[in-house]
Amino acid sequence: MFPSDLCYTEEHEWVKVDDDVATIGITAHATDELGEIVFCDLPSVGAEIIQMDEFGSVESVKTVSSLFSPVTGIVSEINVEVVGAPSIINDSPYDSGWLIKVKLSDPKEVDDLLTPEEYKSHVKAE
Amino acid sequence: MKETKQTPLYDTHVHLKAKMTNFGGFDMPVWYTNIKDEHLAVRNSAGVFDISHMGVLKITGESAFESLQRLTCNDVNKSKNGHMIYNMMLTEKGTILDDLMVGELSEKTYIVVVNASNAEKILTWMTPKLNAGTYIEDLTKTHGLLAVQGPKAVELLSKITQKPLGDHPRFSLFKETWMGVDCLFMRTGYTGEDGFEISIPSASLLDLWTELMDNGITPCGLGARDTLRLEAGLPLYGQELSEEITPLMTRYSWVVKFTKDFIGKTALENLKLTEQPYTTVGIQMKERVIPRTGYAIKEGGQITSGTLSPVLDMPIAMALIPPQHAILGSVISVEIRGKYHAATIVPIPFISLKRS
Repeated sequence: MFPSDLCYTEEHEWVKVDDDVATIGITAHATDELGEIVFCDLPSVGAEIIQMDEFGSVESVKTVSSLFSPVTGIVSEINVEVVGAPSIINDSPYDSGWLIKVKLSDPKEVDDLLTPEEYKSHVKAE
Repeated sequence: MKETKQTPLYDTHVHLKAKMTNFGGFDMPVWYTNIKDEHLAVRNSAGVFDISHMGVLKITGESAFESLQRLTCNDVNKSKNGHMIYNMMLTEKGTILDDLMVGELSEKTYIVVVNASNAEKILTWMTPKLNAGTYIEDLTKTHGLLAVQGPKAVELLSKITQKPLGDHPRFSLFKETWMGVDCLFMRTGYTGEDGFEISIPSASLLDLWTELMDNGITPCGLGARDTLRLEAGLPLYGQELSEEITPLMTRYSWVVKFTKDFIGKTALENLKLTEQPYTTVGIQMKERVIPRTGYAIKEGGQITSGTLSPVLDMPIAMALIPPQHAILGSVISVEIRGKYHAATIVPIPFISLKRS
């Protein structure tokens, strides 16, 4: 439920950092709360996103949920598979359901994010 | 904050790992597996909903008919001989307090089904206005209510009860037993499909639920109930209907019978002399973006309910808009997160319904 090699946000995004590139997705807890995701709106490659700003949205039949960026940087890749078939996010939130990759402007921002233990207690407290 | 209530099936829903939510003051299942599969089970086969949160009232006595006739705007004469009719209770201003189903179960005995979210309000409203010799019994306290819906619902229920339930016409209301337990059967629903709503003593509710599941009927949550009713174009109180909305702005102005006296009549007689500020339409979006309740429409008015139609696989919605824009086939703009998105005004129901 909470992979140990990821960092998290209170808004239920996860981040995986490889050198200066961050892969961003939403957590299994988020997909459980949303139910089947039917649309996914992502920024374009080359767009600049700012830490804690909204960068897109995911929409289920019941509700729409904004995506907040865990980091600042330039979008280097988007997962075109999930735009075409958003249910992939439900099926595999931490793997093939990733959303975007971002080239980090300030890798130190990653220190602001939650550890798996911190995120786990955040989910429990909600 | 008021305490959340539970239906007698609460533990069953939790055991089935349903996603739960508060609705009308009750902790209710939204889905068991997912909305789409449950929706399609009802469209293609049969599904069962725990709707024990709905208010079921038994109105009895010498003056029961007169009391209901004055408290509601449809003609209760049409509910004679076990026939459920769609009806509304109005304020003195002519706005909608609740929409409800009313049927005459037997002489001087009526069954009234009201929305969960309005049950307390309606009881408080009705009680002091009843004629002497009218009595209310709140069956919600002692009974559960299940909705069994879908093209196979009547056939499966006939098998389960070993009674030819298909002989009872649409909208009929009658007493029947299941395993020796006295139940009320109503051939009504909120999905656009054929089926029954069954009121059963709480102690037998789980047994009936289990029997329905054992016969391959899919448990369905309020999520699918909402998408099903929306595809069928049926209104939801709090969205299409409210104390800000009169029946003349809805698709149900026919419910108002000016040939009889009822609370709200004078106000509506005045209002119908002029054009209504808003009217209800169905829309289908041209793009895959869902219009939600309260989203503004450029031409005026707002979305009352919206969803992704599981059958059409496109976003649909109902909206209140100025009547001059309510033209079938014309295009309006819905503001969604700061951008306008085009929508076509389409007929309601949104899909063709095969119900008998």
